[in-house]
Amino acid sequence: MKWKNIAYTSWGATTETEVQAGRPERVRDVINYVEQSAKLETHLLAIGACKSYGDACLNEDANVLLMERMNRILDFDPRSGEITCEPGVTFNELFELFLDKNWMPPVTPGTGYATIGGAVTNDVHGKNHDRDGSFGDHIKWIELVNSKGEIMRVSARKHNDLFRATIAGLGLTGVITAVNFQMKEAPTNAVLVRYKRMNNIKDYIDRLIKARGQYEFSVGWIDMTAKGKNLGRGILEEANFADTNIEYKRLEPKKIPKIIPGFAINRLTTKIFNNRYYHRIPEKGLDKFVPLQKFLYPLDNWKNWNRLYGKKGFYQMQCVLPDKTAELSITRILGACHTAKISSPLAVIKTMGSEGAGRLSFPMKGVTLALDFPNTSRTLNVIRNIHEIVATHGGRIYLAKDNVLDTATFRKMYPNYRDFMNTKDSYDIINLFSSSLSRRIEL
Amino acid sequence: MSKMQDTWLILGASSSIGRSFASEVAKKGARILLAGRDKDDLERTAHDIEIRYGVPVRVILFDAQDFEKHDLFIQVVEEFMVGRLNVFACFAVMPPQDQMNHDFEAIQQTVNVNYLGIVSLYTKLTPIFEQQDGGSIVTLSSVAGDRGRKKNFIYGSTKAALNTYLSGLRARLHEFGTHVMTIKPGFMDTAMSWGHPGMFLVASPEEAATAFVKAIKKGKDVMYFPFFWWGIMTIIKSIPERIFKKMSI
Repeated sequence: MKWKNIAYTSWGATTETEVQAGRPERVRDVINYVEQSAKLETHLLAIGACKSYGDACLNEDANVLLMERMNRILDFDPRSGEITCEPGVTFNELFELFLDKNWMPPVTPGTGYATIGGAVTNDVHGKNHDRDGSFGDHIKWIELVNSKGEIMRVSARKHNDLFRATIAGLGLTGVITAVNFQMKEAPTNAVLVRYKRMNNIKDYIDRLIKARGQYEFSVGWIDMTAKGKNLGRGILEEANFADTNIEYKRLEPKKIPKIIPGFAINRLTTKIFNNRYYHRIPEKGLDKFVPLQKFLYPLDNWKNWNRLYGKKGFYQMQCVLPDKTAELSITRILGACHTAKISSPLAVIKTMGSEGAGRLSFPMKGVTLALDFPNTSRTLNVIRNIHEIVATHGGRIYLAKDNVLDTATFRKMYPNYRDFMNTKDSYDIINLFSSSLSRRIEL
Repeated sequence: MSKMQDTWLILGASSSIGRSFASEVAKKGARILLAGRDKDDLERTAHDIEIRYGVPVRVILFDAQDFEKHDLFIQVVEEFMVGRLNVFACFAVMPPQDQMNHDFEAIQQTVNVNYLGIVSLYTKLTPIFEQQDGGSIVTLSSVAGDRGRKKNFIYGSTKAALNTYLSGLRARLHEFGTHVMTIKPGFMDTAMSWGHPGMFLVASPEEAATAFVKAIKKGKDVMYFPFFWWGIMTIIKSIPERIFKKMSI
């Protein structure tokens, strides 16, 4: 099997990385590539759609496997909704194939372009976390090729340690070649969304926690430019399945040109945009039927929307904080952004229901906040400040979006890291599987 | 492809081109027979096509070099096929020319797979086509067969032989209404070309499969893909031998 020199970025596009890439088309190719890399003593990482924001999908000066051609559906039971597929299958494909049979992925991240392999290795969550948990909670078994080139099938019953290390394992335990999981029933292809204005952070978090699990899906947007008594105001979206189907055909996404200057998103444009976005929803709220995919993937209408941030790219920070400390710590995070005069047009808040199944799973019972930051000279400092606040208040940073966390803070946030490392060491003795992220936080 | 029930036999179905082509004809409702050596992999593709397109798919083990088993292989094909048979062959080997400059075994394997394997099989398939109404035999050859180049002439010569064979087969089966199509692809984005230096304007397997199906519908005899390769090869073929021998392309 041959390698090809390629350069690519993650979704945040702050750094371009050069690697040697293999592109397996079948399990045999994966084994071959793994054996070659082991012999060459180069690090290896399987990557999917590269929609993670930070360096989880990067492997500087090493080898990667592009899993895009391992994208077959291997089994599907239309009665039970149990499915087996290869890791390169995307969420969009699952919707296109199964929504009209009333099945959808159990949990989906905010883009339909993400792959199932990435969903496993980042244990992704969605707008239904309170009710349905994260992706790993729905997996029955995973087939992977370990660093010796052996095919293993792991589950809660067989090699449970490796199973729990592979869920949210950042691709560090092996190359996934098949995943079996349970799909979710989708009675219709649409949701009835209830849009409500939230006046400030206290009301927002009270409402989120009070309404936890009452709706099938829920997600909120925060106007990061609002200050004082309006601090933390925003629009909450709560949704249940509609009673009937609505007409929907997914359109080809529009492309954003490369020439957008980096200053297109600044504090002024954000303020104008946010103000309009907030006042779009009347004070008494608004109910609207929305196609399911449009509701789940609002940004997928624009391919490469990451280009809006210009050539220097952007950072995203997502944290989760326990219910008890959420209001205080989120107020402090918003305050830190104001002090640094940095704002984020994309600020998302949701509740989370429980811990994930993986050793390095991000979720915990609490409130999660995700913020995009344009890449400016002040950005890294703000993010480090936020990490400090999150760590102090018993929270966690989502590794799939991170570019900045240091080893000590990571260990504080993820106390199970030692279990993870023990498992990795015992199955991947030669430390073949590695990424820019894992080397940064010494995993 | 008419309304008549069609069966497509895909030879070399583990390749990305084979998979894409099988998917493309399955979309139009054809029954699929996937033939190749990697049984586990073919089973995966079979499930994928069944689930996505709702057509019946069977896997048959096939080794181009194992000539003695070709009779048995045809028997299995006849057992599984329904309606009219069509064939898409996209298997080949391409050891590096450096190796074939001294390694006879590699040469023999290249001739056996790329040329004799197809001739053996097609000879045995011919009676089916003589008895049925129409149907297509589509073979993936290569632009490498148009001229013997220093960098790739053993492989190229097997493809040249294949092109001549297919031209004759086309004439022989014409009276039975069989459509014999030769595809001469330039660069395609496959496992064979991945990481090869000097590739440009590579076509994806999906684009290729769509173009092949369109050409089959039109009843094309010989097809360059992507089309501009016809121009490139016309130029390369027109270079006089006394100049061409000095070129290291």
